[in-house]
Amino acid sequence: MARSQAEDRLFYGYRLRTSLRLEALPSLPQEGEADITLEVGDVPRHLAALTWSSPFIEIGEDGRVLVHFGDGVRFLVRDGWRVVLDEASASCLGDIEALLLGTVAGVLLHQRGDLPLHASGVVIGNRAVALAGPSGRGKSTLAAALAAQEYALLSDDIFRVRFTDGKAWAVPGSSRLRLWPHAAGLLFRAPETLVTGRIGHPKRLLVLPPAPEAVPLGALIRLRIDTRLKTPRLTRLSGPMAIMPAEDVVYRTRLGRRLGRRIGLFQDLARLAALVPVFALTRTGDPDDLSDLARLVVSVMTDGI
Amino acid sequence: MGGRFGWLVSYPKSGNTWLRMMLFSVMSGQTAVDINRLSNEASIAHFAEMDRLFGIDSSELTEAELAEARPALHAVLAACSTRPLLLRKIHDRYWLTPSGVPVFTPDLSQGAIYLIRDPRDVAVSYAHHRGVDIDEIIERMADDALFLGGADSRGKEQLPQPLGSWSGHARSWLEQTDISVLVIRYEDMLQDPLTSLSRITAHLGIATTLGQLQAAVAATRFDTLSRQEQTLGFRERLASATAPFFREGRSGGWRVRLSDAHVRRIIDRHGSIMARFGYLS
Repeated sequence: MARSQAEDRLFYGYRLRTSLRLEALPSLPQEGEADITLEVGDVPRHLAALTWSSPFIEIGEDGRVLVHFGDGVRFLVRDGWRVVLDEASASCLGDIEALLLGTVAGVLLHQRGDLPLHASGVVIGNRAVALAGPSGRGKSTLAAALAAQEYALLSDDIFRVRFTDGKAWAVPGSSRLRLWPHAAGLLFRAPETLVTGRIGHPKRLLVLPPAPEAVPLGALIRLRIDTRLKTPRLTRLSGPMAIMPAEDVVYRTRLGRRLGRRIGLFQDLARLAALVPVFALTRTGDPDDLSDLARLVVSVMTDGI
Repeated sequence: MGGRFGWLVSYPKSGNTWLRMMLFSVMSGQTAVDINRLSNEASIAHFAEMDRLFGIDSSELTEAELAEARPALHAVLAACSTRPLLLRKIHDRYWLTPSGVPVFTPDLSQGAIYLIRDPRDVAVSYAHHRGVDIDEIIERMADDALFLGGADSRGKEQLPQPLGSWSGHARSWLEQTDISVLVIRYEDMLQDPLTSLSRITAHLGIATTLGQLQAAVAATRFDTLSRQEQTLGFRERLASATAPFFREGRSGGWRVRLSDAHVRRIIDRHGSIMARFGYLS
């Protein structure tokens, strides 16, 4: 893993000062105070006094969060701004990026009191569309299909929303789409030419230019699947159902609640639904419906419904 | 809080869905069954569930990491259960994690039902289900290394499940001694559903009455389920399927659907298990 003098990178809208060379993130001129720091150092194998744990995450009573891939890469995250990567695990870039741009980013955003949607998104006509849903619904695949139509990718899997001046803004995140081989095969003639992510993991990475700046969020589209349908269906959602269950809309809702966002997340979702139209886009379960899905997303952003 | 698992185990297309519907009818006390509501219960382990319970991007985990995490997933599900018995549909063969821990934790298991069906009928049904030809399915049923879910193009929501060959799958569950298994032949369940259901509920420790069992059997008759599918569709049917999910509801269809060569290939590969369960007599 290449070490360097500290350098600044753009990380979900924040200035990340890092001693690791993270080519996956856009570079920033080094100036002023960092919002988040990433250092390499000693990370304990376990935290002492826990409020919650799973095989991959431990939350300490002091608010520190340990995130790891089993015996592999380990990060310690505290207070929404300080990240330490374990010295012993600092050699495997694919694993570091997968964890840093995913779960670690989610922990940081929850600790900072942000709203991270579980969504991928693109920019259509100067506004962003968030494609939200639990793992396996095809968020990245649909975003890749739209990116193939020259719509700029905004973020993959975690989609940070910022509320400023009475508007909801979509903040650029990861510009690397992580695709299962079958999805990559649907979109590209030679998916094997795409780079791999983690060693031993079948997903392929579609590396796209990073989006330069936040844009207004134009629509939230929730992906669903109903294998009974012959063609995809788009419907407008309203009332509490538009944002419920929160687990299907917010990235790691339960983790956020455990990090003190129990009420804040609900308030932010209600605010989002008041500012941005929410739709359900129901897939058929047939992978060949991808072009229809992309067309429906574009129609929402250009014509409304 | 806290419960134990009743594993509903089968190779695909062996009556698991029908059994789940009967058991939910019994346990919920409802006389009418909605096939599309029940389909979400007792579901196969999926990525979103692991994301939710463990807080990690489970689709970024390697197969080995996912496998090692499965027993912990079961422990959390059991600990959080508000019901004493958690039914869980399983297509996995019986397997251990790479570090040698049983995936289906014996201490958390009330018992398992192993549904077995004549592999010649399975082949016909499975070919319709996946929308592929019989030769491809027979090859699939002979593949000891076969996985469902995971990177499989059709099952990205489901965790990888080692399935193996038809007879290897049966052997894995019949030869393990960690979990008490009751084997039920699909053909017997068709012929006398009341007796099969009664044995199944007794094995899993589900308290029932004769009236509840009779009501469950009546509510899940093939023509009822099939009519619902025709009217409202069925969420578990694959988009690529070439026939309804509730297709025939009978046994022995292979006699007119399979060639002699197909039958020979199946018997050559799976003959010993077939003989053990009376499929060659």
